[in-house]
This record gives sequence, C-alpha cells and structure tokens, in this order.
Amino acid sequence: MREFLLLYKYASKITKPTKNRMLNFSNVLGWIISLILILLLTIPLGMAFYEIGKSLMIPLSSLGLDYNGYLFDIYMFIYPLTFGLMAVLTLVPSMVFNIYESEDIEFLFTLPIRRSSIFIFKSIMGLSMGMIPLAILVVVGISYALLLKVNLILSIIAMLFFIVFLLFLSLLLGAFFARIMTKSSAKIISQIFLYVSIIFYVVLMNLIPRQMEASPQDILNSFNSFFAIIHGDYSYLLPINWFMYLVNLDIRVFGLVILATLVLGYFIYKNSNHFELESGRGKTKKTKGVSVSKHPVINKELRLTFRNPQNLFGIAYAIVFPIIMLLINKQFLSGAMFVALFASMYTSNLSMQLMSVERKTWPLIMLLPVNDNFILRVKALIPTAIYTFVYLIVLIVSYFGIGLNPIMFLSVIPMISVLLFSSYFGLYLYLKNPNRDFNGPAVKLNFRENISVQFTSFLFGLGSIIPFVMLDYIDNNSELWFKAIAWFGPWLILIVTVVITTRVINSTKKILNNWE
Amino acid sequence: METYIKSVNLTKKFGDYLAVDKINLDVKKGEIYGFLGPNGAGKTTTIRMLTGTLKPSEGEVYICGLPLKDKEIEIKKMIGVIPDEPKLYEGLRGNEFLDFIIGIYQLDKKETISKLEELTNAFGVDYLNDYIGDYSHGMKQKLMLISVLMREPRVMFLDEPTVGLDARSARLLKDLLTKIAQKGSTVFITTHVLEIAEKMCDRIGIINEGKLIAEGNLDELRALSKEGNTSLEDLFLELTGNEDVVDIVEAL
Ligand SMILES: Nc1ncnc2c1ncn2[C@@H]1O[C@H](COP(=O)(O)OP(=O)(O)OP(=O)(O)O)[C@@H](O)[C@H]1O
Ligand SMILES: [Mg+2]
Repeated sequence: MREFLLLYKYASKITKPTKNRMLNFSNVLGWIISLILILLLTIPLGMAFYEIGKSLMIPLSSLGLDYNGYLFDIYMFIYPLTFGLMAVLTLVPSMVFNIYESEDIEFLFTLPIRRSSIFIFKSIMGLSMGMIPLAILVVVGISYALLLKVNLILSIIAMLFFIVFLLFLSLLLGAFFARIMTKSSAKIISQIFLYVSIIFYVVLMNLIPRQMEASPQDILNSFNSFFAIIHGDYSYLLPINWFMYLVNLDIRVFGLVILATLVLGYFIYKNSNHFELESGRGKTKKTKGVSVSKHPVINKELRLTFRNPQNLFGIAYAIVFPIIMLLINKQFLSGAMFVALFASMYTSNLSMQLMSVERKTWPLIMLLPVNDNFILRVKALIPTAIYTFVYLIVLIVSYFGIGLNPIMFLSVIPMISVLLFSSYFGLYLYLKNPNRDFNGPAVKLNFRENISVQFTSFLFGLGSIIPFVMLDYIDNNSELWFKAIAWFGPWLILIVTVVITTRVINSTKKILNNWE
Repeated sequence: METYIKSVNLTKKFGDYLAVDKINLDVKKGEIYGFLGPNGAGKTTTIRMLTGTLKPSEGEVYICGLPLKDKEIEIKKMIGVIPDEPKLYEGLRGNEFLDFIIGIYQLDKKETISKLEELTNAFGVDYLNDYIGDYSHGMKQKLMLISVLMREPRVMFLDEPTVGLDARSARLLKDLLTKIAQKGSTVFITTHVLEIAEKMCDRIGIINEGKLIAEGNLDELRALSKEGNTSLEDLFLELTGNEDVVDIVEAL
C-alpha cells in the first residue's frame, strides 16, 4: 500500500511541473462535468431499457416455458454481455499500452519496488477508458432491478462486486498480454481483439429481434433456445449470466463472484510479479527496399494512426456501434447519436495523438524542411477525413438498411466543419500546455479541457444531425421555430464552427511558431 | 573562403538564466569545427539555435550566407543535424522512416538509394525492417546518421554523435566526416571525447558557462596556455577552470 501511495504521489511528477498550480478547483469541476456527461449518456439508455422492459416482463411460465424468469431476461442477457465485453475489450489494450508506453517504467523497474505494484499501478492508470461501458452496465442493471422490484441498494452493491470482478478479469488478461506480447506484437493482438469484437457485434446484431415491431411471441420464437442458457439448472454457474443473477440478488452467484474475484486476484498477484518488458524482436535479415512515396508526410501519419490499436478501436467502435443501434432501433437518429458521440471523443484525441508523436521525437520535426502550418493541417485533416468517412459509412448503411431520406447526406457538410473544429481545438489545447506528459497511450488532457472539447463537439455534432432528422417531421401544422431549426440549424452550426475554427487555427499557429 | 556557419552575438536566456552568451562563430566551407565544453556549458543550446529548433533571445544566424530567420525551409534542406538523443518515430519501421526522409527532402530516388546501400553496408545496418521502437540506442543513432549522411548535406551539425556507437562505427563515422569535409561540406561537432577533437578538427571552440572562451587550431590553443600545457585535455581543464580534479582525486 505504501508503495502505491508513493507511486501515485510521484506519477504526476515525471514531467516538468506546470506553472498553473491552481488546478484543484477545475479538477473537481471536471469530475462533476464528466459525471454529468456520463449520466446524460446513460440515463436515456436506462430509461429506454426500462420502457422496453415494462412490456416484456412476461413470466416465461405464462408463455408455456418451464423456466423461472421473464421474457425480458433475454435483453438482460444480451446487454450486459455486450457492454461487459466492450468494457473488457477496451480495458485490456488500454492497460497494456499504458504499461508499454509509459516513459518511466524502465526507471521504476530499477527501484526496490515489487513488480506487481508497478504493474497494478500502471494498469489502474489505464482504467478510465472503460468507464462508459461500465456505467451503461450499471444503468441497465438498475433498470432491471426496478422492474423486478427488488431491493435497489442491495442490487447496486451486488453490481459493484461484478464490476470489481470485471476489472480483475481485465487486469489478469492485461498481465497475461503484457507478458506474452512484445511491443510490436501487442499491436497485432489488439487487432485480433478488434476483429473478434466486430464479429461478435455482427452476430449479436442478427440475433436481436427488431424490438420495435417484434411481438412477445416473435421474440420467444427466435430466442427459445436461449432460455436454456439463461435459466437452465446450472445457468448460475455461467459468468455471462452472473450480472442478471446478481441484480436479482441470487446469493449463490454472489458467493461465486467473490470467490472468482479472489482467485483472479491471486493469479494477478502471482503473474504480475514476473512481468517484464522483453522485446522479442524477430530479426528479419532480408531487408526490404526503400519505396519512395509521393506524400511522405501523409503516409507517415496514416501509418502511425493505423498502427496504434487504440485508434483502430476508436474507429471500429464509431462504425460498429452506430450501425448496431440504428439497425436495432430502425431509426437513423439513434445511430447518429453514437456517431456524434464517438467522433467527438476520438477526433480530437486522434489529432492530439498525432501531434504528441512529434513532441516525443522533438526536435526531429523542426529539422525537416516543411512548413509548421503544413504539419498542423495534416494533423487536423487526417482525423477529420477518417471520421467523415466513418459518418458516411453510417449514412450509406442507413440508406440501404433502413431507407434513409437521401437529404440526410447533406449533413456531411456541417459535420465536416464540426470535426475540423474538434481536431483543431484538440490540437490547440494540447499545444497550449507544452509540458503535457506522454505517460500512457492516449494524450491526457485534464478533465476540464477534455470536457470542453468533447462536449462542445458532441453538441455541435448533434446540432448538425438532429435538424435534418426533424425535416422528416415537418408538415403543415409544424410550428415556426421547429421549421426554423430544421431548415437553418445545421447551417448556423456550420458558420459558427467555421468562425471558431479559424480563430483557433490562428492561435494554434502562434503557439506552434513559438515551439521550442 | 566562403563562410558556411556564422553567428552574431548569439544569446539564449532561459528565464533569468543566461545559457548562451553572445557567441560569435565563423566556420568556413570544408572546415571541421569542434565545439567543446563541460556539461551544461551551452553546447546543445547553441546547436539548437544554429539549426533553427530554438529561437535565440538575441543575435543572428547565417547558414551558407542565408539568414536563418527568413530562409528556414531552404536552410533546413541544406543542413543535416544529429541531435544529442536519437528520437525517432517508434511506430515506423527503419525503411519507412528513410522513405519518409527521402520523400520530404525530395531526394533523387536512384542516387539516394545507391548511397543508402553503401551506408547501410558500411554501418552494418541490417534491421531496417524492424520497428524503430525496438531498436537499441546505438541502432537508432546509426539510422539517424545514415538518414543524414545519405543526403550529403552541405553543413552538418552533430551533437555528441559517437555516444552509443560501437568502436567500429565511431571510427567509420570519423573517417566519413573527414571525407565529407574534404569534399567541401562543413562539419560542426560537439564531443566530450577530446581525442576526436584533437585528431579530426581543423578548429576548436571552447565554451564555458555560455561564453566562448577560446577558439583556434591546436597550436593557437596551446599558445593560450599560461602553464605550458600541450595536451588538449590539460588545456581544456585549464581553460575551463577545472584543473582541481587532480587535487580532488587525491583528497578522496
Ligand atoms: N529548455 C530549457 N529550459 C531551461 N534551461 C535549459 C533548457 N535547455 C537547457 N537549459 C540550460 O542551459 C544550460 C546549457 O545546457 P546545454 O544543454 O546547452 O548544455 P551542454 O553544453 O549541451 O551540456 P552537455 O555536455 O551535458 O550536453 C544548462 O544549464 C541547462 O540547464
Ligand atoms: Mg548537450
């Protein structure tokens, strides 16, 4: 414990101290805002979940099945599975890379501290990435507890145990992967992870009934065999069922989870004491020729972008989630919300990350005969282009999948402007504090900065999309303000973002010119 | 002779701290200039200002007659820099990095690749297919070196280039730099290995606490010694006021 406290105390002291020492207040504010953001995100989902649940809390016995549960349990099976898996899939690579990419790890190894402490400490520093799926999990659980009318407090406590279990599971997987992965192969394994999760989502997508139209009987028909997994005699032994059973206050599962967590903890401890950063570089004797590209800068940025698995995850989530959502709900808006959310989270992050590469290798970039402004432009345009492309994919899928009104394609225009704003704003914030540390794979802004860029981009993104959806609802009875927003909203946002972005670009150029 | 590196009253202040104090340099075409000084004397800071990665607080820099302030891009195309630490894009492979450099300097493909082949063979660089992140310090340093040497820049700045190199590579580098200088390029090198400075450099400048305290070829420097020191090591210690090492060692 003393070791952890020491590590924590010095974790923030690896880089030069910043002048601004009064961050405490804004940190608290940041926490509050991010909490609000998570609530904004999860509560509508929880409410929707609750609404679906109300009509589907039909006892299975009344449907002629010999099980002790409700029809709705099928959702309570699929949602925790999806988001639990998403949490683990996000947490594991994030933790492994937090370990690999931290600059002080070599130094920490030379200190008389147990390896397990270093490992666990570094992993915990990478946990924040998984907060959103975990929060969704909790909200889903709470809705279910309300539907079951069980003791809410006890249910929440049980859920927390499950989350600890998930964290431990991720830690163990992280310890395992940190041990067997070399720095380069870590990237490959994460890519495999990515494919597995995509395949999983696609399968899930085909399994979930179109809930808006499906009648209880339809659901029953398509999921009949599932109930054997959920409510069979030994179902409580299956970890994928644990979340539901815990919310239902099943005492057997409670014991199982605690037992499993303890076992995991033991293995983490044993495993992490041996962990080391070996580089099992397979020497390749045969040297490939140097191929000269026409666009060296863009090529380099693209390589660096797509070789960082976190970016791959970011891009994949932004495609897969919205598509799942819009196909499930048969509604463009629910998919578009997720695009806006992911794009606003990742665009700025990506541009900052591309910039942080230059900071790490500084002064290399200053020695090259290229204009600073050109560098800046590339760092902003690549993330914008990638997420514009992602948005287009979602639009095209909606067009062919759910017959989207083609006028929606026009929303790409304000969206591009919003994404440009997001990446430039991210770059600006990143460059503004030159002592930003690189500890960890994702570029760390403080909470306030993070929220200000992600929240504004999210709102602007929604503002570019929702009015287009509103166009479909305009009729003769529509009120004037409704029409005004639908017609002019996105274009207003276009103008606003263009104006702000130009200003941000100018300030950023100034900072960049003084970079040294 | 043409002047290739010129600085006028070059000064850098970090806050109140004067790291480099009014340095005037005049290095000619084809010259190898050794820049010596104790740790923290201001060598790296000077090189950074000469190569445009750090803005001087005061003073001017001219490279090949062009003012650095206005002609940054042109100058960067002409010069080659080996920084004190080889920091490269860890996510790229060695050959991808070279590819990037060739593209960005718009080098002639055929010519550069044949030069590159000679250099990789000479330095024993057979790891270009691997990720830079997996290289050792010396391997990165060699990659950095060949990426600069393949361009045959007119002016080269090297900040302690032999750190981390094995004996063979260090020797090779010394010989290559001498050859490059004979072909008419200028080499500006800092080092703590006085033997390198003694054998290779046409002229030596000694910097201490930000000030250029002595400059000239070996004979000229010897003439500065009040105590008749003839080895560069003794001279260096005398001029930088660090002669007391002998006493200290004895006291220990
Ligand atoms: N970015 C910076 N901010 C503040 N002070 C700096 C900075 N860079 C260098 N200095 C200071 O300037 C002085 C000269 O540093 P410099 O790196 O030029 O020394 P050096 O001669 O290269 O030393 P060494 O032989 O150890 O490489 C040192 O006192 C150093 O602390
Ligand atoms: Mg130095």
